[in-house]
Amino acid sequence: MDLFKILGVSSTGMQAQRSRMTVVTGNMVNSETTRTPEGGPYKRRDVVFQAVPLEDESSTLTTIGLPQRPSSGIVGVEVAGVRESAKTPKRIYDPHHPDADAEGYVAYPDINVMEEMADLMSAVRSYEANLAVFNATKGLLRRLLEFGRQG
Amino acid sequence: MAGFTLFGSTHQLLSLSMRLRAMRHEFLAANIANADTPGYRARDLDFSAALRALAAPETMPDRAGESGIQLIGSRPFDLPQGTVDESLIRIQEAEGKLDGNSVDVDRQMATLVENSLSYETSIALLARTLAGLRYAIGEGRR
Repeated sequence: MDLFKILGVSSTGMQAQRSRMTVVTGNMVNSETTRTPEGGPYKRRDVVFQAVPLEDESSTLTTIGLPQRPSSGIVGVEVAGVRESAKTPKRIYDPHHPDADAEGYVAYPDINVMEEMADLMSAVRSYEANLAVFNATKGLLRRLLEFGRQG
Repeated sequence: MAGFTLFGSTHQLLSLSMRLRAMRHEFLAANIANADTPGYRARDLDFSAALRALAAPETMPDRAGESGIQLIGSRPFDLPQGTVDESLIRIQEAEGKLDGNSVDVDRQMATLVENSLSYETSIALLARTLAGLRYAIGEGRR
């Protein structure tokens, strides 16, 4: 219940959304990539978000002998992992392509650029929402400081 | 007469209100951060219920039962730390969303703005109370 901690909550949100933007951008630029270090076409990746309790300063409190503050149950967000899509690649007939198989088909990743674009916009909006909360919290802290100056 | 104290019940009530507003702000920030987390359910603090439950009886004096000088406000910062009772927290159930997430970012944003303004109102009122005290200490001189 500390305004400074709330800045931390909003920053976990911004970090998570930024990782999502990175992954989505990776999907967009690789929508026609037929070679990867692991072999085969690029596979679409997806971030998985997970709510995590913020680490409390309570552990330090107990070491210096102060009573431990009960956790308020406030959670931030983190990227739990990046999942590869199990979708089978699209097969497009192009016998002159260097990665064409014996039958003349090339395996392309099954990525819909429009879908990725929509996902990217959603990530940007969520990022902005977190930024707005961050600024609102900053405004409250500043107001509190001004009050300290008057009083 | 009311209790004889420098920082009276108004002061305590305002500081409790500020604490609860800050706590509610934290809930709203966490909801917005988890707007895309599957299965996350939005949580909110029921401010008026919390204020009613946590305002100690002496901060809301019963005028009829008062007699003589009461030392109210002798422990101005003896207010709940860090946590509130689970019964004061409202959990929004997910309605019709496939990922089980119940955060409505627009509603959370609107509530956040409302809550921030109320927090600033508490600060402004507290500043007024203290200005009144300073005026009295200065024997009415500006």
